[in-house]
Amino acid sequence: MNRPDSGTIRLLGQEISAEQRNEIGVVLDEVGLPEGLNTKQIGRIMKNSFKNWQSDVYENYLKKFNLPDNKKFKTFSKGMKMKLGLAIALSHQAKLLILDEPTAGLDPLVREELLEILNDFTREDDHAILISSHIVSDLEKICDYIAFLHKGKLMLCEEKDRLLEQYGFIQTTEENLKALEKDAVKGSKITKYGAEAIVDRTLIPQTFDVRPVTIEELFVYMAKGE
Amino acid sequence: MKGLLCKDCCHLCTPVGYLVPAVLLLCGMILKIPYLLTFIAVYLSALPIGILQNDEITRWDIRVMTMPFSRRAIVSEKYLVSLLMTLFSALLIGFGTAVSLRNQFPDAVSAAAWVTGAVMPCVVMPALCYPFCFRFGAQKMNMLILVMIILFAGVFSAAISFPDAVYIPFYYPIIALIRLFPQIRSHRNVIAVFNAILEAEKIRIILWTLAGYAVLTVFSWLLAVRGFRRRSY
Repeated sequence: MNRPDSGTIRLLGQEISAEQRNEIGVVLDEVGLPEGLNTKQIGRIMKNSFKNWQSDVYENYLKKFNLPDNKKFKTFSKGMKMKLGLAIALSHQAKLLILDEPTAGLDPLVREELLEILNDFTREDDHAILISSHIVSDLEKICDYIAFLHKGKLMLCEEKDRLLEQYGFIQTTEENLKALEKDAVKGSKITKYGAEAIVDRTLIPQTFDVRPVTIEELFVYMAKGE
Repeated sequence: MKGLLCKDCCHLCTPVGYLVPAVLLLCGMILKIPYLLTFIAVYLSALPIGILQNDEITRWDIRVMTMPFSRRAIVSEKYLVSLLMTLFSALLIGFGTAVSLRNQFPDAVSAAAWVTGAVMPCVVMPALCYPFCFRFGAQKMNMLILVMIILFAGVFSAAISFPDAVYIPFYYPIIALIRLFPQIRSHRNVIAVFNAILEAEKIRIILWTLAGYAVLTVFSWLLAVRGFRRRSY
C-alpha cells in the first residue's frame, strides 16, 4: 500500500492497475468488511465491484463454510470471518490469491479445511497463491516455492522440494562441527550434550548421519546463524 | 464505483430511514422552530464522514485498495454520497419549510433562498473535512470533524434560524467587506444597504450560492484526490 520509491511492479505480465485487480483475490489478516452488514449485503457489494463476480459460486462457498446469510459480520468468529474473506476471493475468477496470515488464530480443523481449499485452487494451471505466514507447517503443506524474510533481508527463495533435498539435520560433537566447511553449515546450536546443525548435504562427508529437515527447523537455525 | 456506492447506501439506510418519519411526524408539531430544520443538514452532512471513520475502524479502507477501484474513484464516491445527502437534505428541509414555515416567508423565492443557505453544512463540512481525511486518515481528523459539527450545529444553525434574517449565512462576511469602505459609517446603514441589495437580487444570490458550493466542492475534490494519492498505509 506504499507509494513506490522507484521501479515498477508487473503482475500477471502487466503493469499493475485498478482494472487488473479483478484478477487478484486478497485476504488480509483482518478481513476488513463492514461490520454491520450480513453476507447477502456483502455479496451484493462485491457483485457491483468485481467484473467477473459469480454469485452462485459465492453462495456455494457460504453453504460449504456454513456461513449464515442473515447474521451481521461483526458477530462472526475469527474463523468465520476468514472463511468469508476466502469465499469472496474465490468468487470472482481470480487467477492470483494474495493471502496475509490466513490461518493465524484459527483452530486446527478450520486451518486444515482452508488449506484444502487453497490446494484445490492451485490445481488449475493458471492459478497461483502468494501466501505470507508465520505458521511454517502450513507453508510446508501447500507451497511449491518458499521465501524466508528475516529482519528485512531475503534469507532464501527456493523450491520447497529442493530445500528439503539439499539440507539436512545433524547431531554431532562440537569438534566435528568445527571441522566442516563453513559454507556447509547453514545454522548451528551448541548444547552441553554436543552440537546440532543444519547442513548442506552436498558439502559434508557421507560419514555423517543426516536426517531430513523440516522447513521450520531450517528457518529457525538460519535465523539464529544470522 | 457502483460497489462502493452500494456499500455506503447499505450503511446509510438505517440512519436516513429514521430521519424521514421523524421529519414527517415533527413537521406539524415542533418544526415550526427553524433551528430543528437546519439541524437536518448538519445531521446528514456528518453521516458520510462517519462512514469514512467507520471504514478505517473496520479496515475497509485497506480492503478497498485491493479491489478494482482507482484512488480517484474512491474519493469521488464519497463526494457523490455527500452530494446525494445535500440533495436529500434540500428535499427534507424544503418539505419542512413548505409545511411548517410557509407563513414566515414573503414569497417562494425567499423560502428557496433560505433552503439554499440551510443546506450549507452538507456542502461545506465534507468540502473542508475530506481533503484532510483522505490525506491523513479520518480518525486522526476527529477533532476537526467535531469542531465542524459544533460550529454548524450550534453557530450556523442558530444564526440561520431567524427567518427575519434569512440571508444571515451570507450576511456577516459581506458586512465585514462593506465595513472596509470608509464612506459607510454605521452598522445600521450597512444592514439597510445590504437588505436593499438582497431584496432586488434574491434569485441571483441563490445562483451565486450554488455556484460557490460547486467551486468549493470541485476545489476540495481536487485536493482530496491529490492528498489520497500521496497517502501510504
